[in-house]
Amino acid sequence: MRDFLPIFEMDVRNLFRNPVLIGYNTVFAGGLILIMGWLMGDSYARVSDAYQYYAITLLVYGTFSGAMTATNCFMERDIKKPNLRIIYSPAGGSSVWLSKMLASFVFDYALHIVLLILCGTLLGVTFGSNPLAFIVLMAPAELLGTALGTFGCCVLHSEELASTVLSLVVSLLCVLGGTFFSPDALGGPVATISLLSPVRWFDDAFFAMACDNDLSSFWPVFLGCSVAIAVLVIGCKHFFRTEDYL
Amino acid sequence: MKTFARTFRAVLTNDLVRAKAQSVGIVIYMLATLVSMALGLYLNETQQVKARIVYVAQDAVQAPSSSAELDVTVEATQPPESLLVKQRYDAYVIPQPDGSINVVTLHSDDFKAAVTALVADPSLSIGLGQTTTGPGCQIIGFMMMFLLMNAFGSLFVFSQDKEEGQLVRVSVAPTSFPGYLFAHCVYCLLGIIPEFLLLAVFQALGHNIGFTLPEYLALMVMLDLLGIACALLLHTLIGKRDNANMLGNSLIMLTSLLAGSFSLAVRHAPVVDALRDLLPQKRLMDFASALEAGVPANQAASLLYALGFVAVLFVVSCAILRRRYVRGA
Repeated sequence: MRDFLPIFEMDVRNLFRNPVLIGYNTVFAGGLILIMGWLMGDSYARVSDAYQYYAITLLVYGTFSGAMTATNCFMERDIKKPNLRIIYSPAGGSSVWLSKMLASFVFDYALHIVLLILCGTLLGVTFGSNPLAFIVLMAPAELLGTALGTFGCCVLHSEELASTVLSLVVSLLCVLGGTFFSPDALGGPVATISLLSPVRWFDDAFFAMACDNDLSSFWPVFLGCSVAIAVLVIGCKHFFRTEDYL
Repeated sequence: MKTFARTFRAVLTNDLVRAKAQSVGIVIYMLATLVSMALGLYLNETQQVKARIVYVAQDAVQAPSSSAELDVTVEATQPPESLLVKQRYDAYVIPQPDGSINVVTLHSDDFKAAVTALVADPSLSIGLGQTTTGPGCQIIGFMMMFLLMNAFGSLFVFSQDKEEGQLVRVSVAPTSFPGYLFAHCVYCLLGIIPEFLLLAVFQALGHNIGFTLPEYLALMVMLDLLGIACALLLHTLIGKRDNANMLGNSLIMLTSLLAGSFSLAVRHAPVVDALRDLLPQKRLMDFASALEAGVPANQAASLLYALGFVAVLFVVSCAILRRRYVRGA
């Protein structure tokens, strides 16, 4: 633990020094909510209802996109050499990927909470009678996203390939899950297929919490997410290879 | 000319060999685009605008019957509000003791009045708003974002060369720099082959795809060139490949949605419309729409704008690259 903390601290600091990543998780995410909410404003009597829909779906999109933060943090060219040193230090190889995963989680979670507060205050988006529960449930979702990114790097052994593949997979899951348009509104097979997307499961849980004050999905989603994170962490341990840094 | 041809052939062969290492990413990109295209066609063929209502009553006998414009579900209790926000249902209709109905909806008052009328007489034809997008524009709109991202991703052959210092070697070797860049562009353009083949399959299966295959090819090449030009400029300007990729994909997503990708750009305002008109994707969609309507000449200016936009991006990128890498040329 004593060896791990300085690495983690350095990774968090590096992430908060990266303007592109900060912009991606704040300006881009916020811009997307504003644009989508405005574009679809005519679908609702009040524009705030459109913002309500897109703030939630795009926050879920943001949590899954945490995979890209993790791939950038894990295998970016400039970080590879320091990582190689850490692998042969007493801290060991596992501290490399674990630190990147947790640092990306802290970074994304902090920025998305800021975004959530801004959506609540500026756009009139509500997060239910218990916003704290909403924020708490975001944590496993964020960690799942960053665990997915780290796992992608360990399996594909290349930051660029992992980033490309995950970016596409996340985008496709989000399109099917209802991030950009409601699959329920389309009905039929589209609504049925969308149930296969994990993005849809998160969307449903967050909508129930925000709009209906219904916390019944909290524990199933929390526990399901924890199991998925555990599987990905075991996968990272299994697939991580020191040779990828040589 | 000989150097150009030799460089072009060597670089293109090299790109194809390097693509093998990226095959997983390429296949996933391709599948995402193909799924999106199929979804666009499916929605265009099946989409019917219906009011989906929940009739809240213990007794289903009182409920109106479903019709061409009304989809009725009967529930004993009122479903949660989140289903209205998610648009699973458009309205909850609650019959009152005095015989009137209370319509709970997040849509406009006009929609509320339409639902009230349809509940009273489900056989009415109100016209809740049919989609006016043709199948061609719908397919192009659904594939646009993925096609641009694909073009951006395919230019890894250039960004990798630049980041790993190969570009400096290429620039001082007895090779043709335009031939080198042209080969990369051709490699990126090869990425549209699977999408084109899928369109041919759709057509062979008897689906109405809106455009002829040559028209599709031209539009897809235009979109791909736009993606390549954006990628070239960003990779030229930004030192780190990851940062350029992330910024590029974000820009593509934001601008494509604003330009009408997924047929989402439904709301209008003077300032936003003016901004939207600056986007080359929007102008290409305008041209595609006119082409599908059989009056391409009406939007010839839009096509010229998009072509000009691509040309400017290429010229600026090439000028910067020339200054940085082939100063002595």
